[in-house]
Amino acid sequence: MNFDLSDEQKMLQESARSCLAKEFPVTTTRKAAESLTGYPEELWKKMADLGWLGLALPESYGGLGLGFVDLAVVLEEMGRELTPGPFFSTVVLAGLTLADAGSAEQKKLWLPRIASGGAKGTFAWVERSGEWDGGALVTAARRAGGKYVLNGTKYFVTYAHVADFILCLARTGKALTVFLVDAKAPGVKVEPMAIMDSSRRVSKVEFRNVAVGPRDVVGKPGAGAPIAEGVLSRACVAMAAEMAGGAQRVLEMSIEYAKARVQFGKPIGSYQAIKHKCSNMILEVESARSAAYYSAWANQEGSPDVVEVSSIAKAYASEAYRKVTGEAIQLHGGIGFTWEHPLHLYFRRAKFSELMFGDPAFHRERMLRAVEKSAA
Amino acid sequence: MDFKDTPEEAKFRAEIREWLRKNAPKGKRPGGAWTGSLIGEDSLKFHKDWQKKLYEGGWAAVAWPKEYGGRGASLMEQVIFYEEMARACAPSVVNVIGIALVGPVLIGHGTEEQKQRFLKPILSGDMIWSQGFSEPNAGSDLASLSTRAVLEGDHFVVNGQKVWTSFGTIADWILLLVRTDPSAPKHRGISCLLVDLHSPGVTIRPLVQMTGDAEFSEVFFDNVRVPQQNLVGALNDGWSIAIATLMHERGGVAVAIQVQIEQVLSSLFDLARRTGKNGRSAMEDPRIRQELARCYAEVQIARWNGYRSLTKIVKDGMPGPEGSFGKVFWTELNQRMQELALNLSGVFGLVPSGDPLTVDSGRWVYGYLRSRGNTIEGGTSEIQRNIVAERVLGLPKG
Ligand SMILES: Cc1cc2nc3c(=O)[nH]c(=O)nc-3n(C[C@H](O)[C@H](O)[C@H](O)COP(=O)(O)OP(=O)(O)OC[C@H]3O[C@@H](n4cnc5c(N)ncnc54)[C@H](O)[C@@H]3O)c2cc1C
Repeated sequence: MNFDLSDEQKMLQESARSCLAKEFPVTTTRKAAESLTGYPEELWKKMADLGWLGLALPESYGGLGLGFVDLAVVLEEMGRELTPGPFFSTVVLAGLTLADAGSAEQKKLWLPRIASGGAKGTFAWVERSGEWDGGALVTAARRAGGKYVLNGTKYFVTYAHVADFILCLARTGKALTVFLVDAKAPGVKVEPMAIMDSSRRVSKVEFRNVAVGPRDVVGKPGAGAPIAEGVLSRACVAMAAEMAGGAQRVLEMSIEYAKARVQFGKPIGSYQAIKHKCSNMILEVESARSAAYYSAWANQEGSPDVVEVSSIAKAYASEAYRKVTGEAIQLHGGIGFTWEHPLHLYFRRAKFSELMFGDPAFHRERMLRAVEKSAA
Repeated sequence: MDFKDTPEEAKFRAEIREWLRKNAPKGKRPGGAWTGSLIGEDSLKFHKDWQKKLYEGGWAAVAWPKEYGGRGASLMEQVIFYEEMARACAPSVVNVIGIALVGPVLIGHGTEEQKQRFLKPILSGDMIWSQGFSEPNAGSDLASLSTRAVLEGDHFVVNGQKVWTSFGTIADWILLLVRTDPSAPKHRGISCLLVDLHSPGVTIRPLVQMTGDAEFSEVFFDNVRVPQQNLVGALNDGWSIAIATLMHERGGVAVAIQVQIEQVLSSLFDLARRTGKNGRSAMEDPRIRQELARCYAEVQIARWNGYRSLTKIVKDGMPGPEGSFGKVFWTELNQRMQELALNLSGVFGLVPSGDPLTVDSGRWVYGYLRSRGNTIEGGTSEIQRNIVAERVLGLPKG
């Protein structure tokens, strides 16, 4: 048993931290986040140059062939600085899904381009019902001759406005199927949505009579449910790692402030009400990190408890992140309530991460079903 | 990062698993045995017999060095030991304070003679130990203790009072903190003595806890003579020994605790499966499912936090920040699990042990009440949070 990063992973962590903190700190990227694309182009180029985009993709397709734990290291660092951009959508939602379930042809076409920064992808899941349960989906692909015709509207598709391709989870009869759709295909309409967290861009994507061929099916027709389970588990872990990083950064800001801010002649950190808040914060931050990395390892190894532990990580980390950012604002007093201070950006991101890909109650239920299934 | 057993760890696991398969007690246990409570002749005998068996098999204290009857088990092996004990639903050891606290203190600071004399009976369970730290006016502020010991010839003469002494009524010996230099600053005038509770001048009065059981006691010392060779460590250097003991209490014991909360969790799930709620199984009630899932998740997270801190201890000799709040985490989680169990049973959750209508032999009524002590004993949650804030986060003292 060894629950620690390797020396290489620690180096990766250090280099990611210094790169993001120096070149793309939240204080500067927040302006870019409000731009048309929602992120600075140099950031994307940098990620490609550093090999992050292909980090967890197979070597045979231009990646570095590292594991999910390595990916979690980078994601945790991005969480610290609220790094904007389509990394999560392209790598976690699209790239790893193709690497896991795509055809040789799909992999050959897209993975090397993802790794080099030449292509972006995303995954279209949730619909107007707002439900993450596959059973609630109505977007459907109808068979017509040797082809399919796709109709439906997806929401909260992350960075669809800059994506080259979209993986779309759709109904094919009773079963679900994942389709790879060219974002420029006729009938695909992408419309950016307004949400509370501007460091994350999402769109409404309409598919109107979009023609897709059998070669655009990811995995087999009707095999969408298990593929989507995999997407969901990986999304949970990736978000948990980001949340652990964000919460850690907020804790650090709080401790620094508690030591520096003097009221009634003493640093506020000497008052027990503040001390106990901080102690609760570190308990939650460290616990979120333990859950994020354990579940990253489980995904990397294809361990049988993947669903269970991924949902634990998502449910726990998102509640922890929300509480920690809320307490941090309180601890900072008036300055923490200003637009200028970055705390509210973390507070917003925490809520986004809590609700995207299933809220904590959804994941507790998902976890419990997995536990019951493995006990049966 | 890797959570699989190494070949050596796997070998160790197979060995203890096989031993437990042959030796762990099967069938009905005497009343109280489900909680590890030692109250009642039957329960005490049951636990003493079990400890004898562990001792004879060489499993009574895996963490101790081989030369003192342990197995010199690595931290990881200790974890495996407790995991397998839990898997086999084996009872806990009877002499917890002896094995987890007094033994390691003697191995670290005792004289050769003390080791020869005390370690073996601690292991076999023939000599039950208690911990005499807290006093009526020295609780969280332990260093303000005032029980006095004066050296007269080759004996210390002890006068004073201890309180909340767990196992006081069944213990043979006590690890006692006493003031030996009243003129020194409070942390520097304390010494640590090994005291025979059967000595003249010792009076033990059981104190009934809110559970209704008398698991702890008051212990009075009236001119009790303690041979000088029962001093542990140097004179007036008892505080460092107290700290070492508390570290064992909050650290080493944590490994064993994880197993206990996993057992509580699994009993809680069993209970939910058997319980009806709103016309269906409690396992089908969405609100209860949420609460069960929350407990389940946090028990796993406690385990992962434990794994992280173990890795850190093995590598650096010290736990990281994730090791500092383990006690707060499990004690508060346990309180929530116990409460959920009572709520599951509804009004019948109120019926205590001994009544035919009670649920699960009354373990949840007991557990619900007993769990309130967890956040007080061994350093209160407030003190633990102060420690995390000041030592881990570096916030200024108030
Ligand atoms: C079940 C049980 C078993 C025990 N077994 C033993 C045993 O075997 N041997 C032994 O020696 N002792 C034992 N104890 C005693 C235990 O260690 C003490 O009760 C504990 O250290 C608290 O001391 P106290 O009871 O005097 O409470 P106090 O120290 O008076 O505390 C009262 C309240 O004030 C709070 N408080 C105190 N100081 C501070 C501070 N600086 N900041 C914030 N809050 C503070 C505490 O957190 C608590 O909420 C046992 C206790 C229990 C409940």
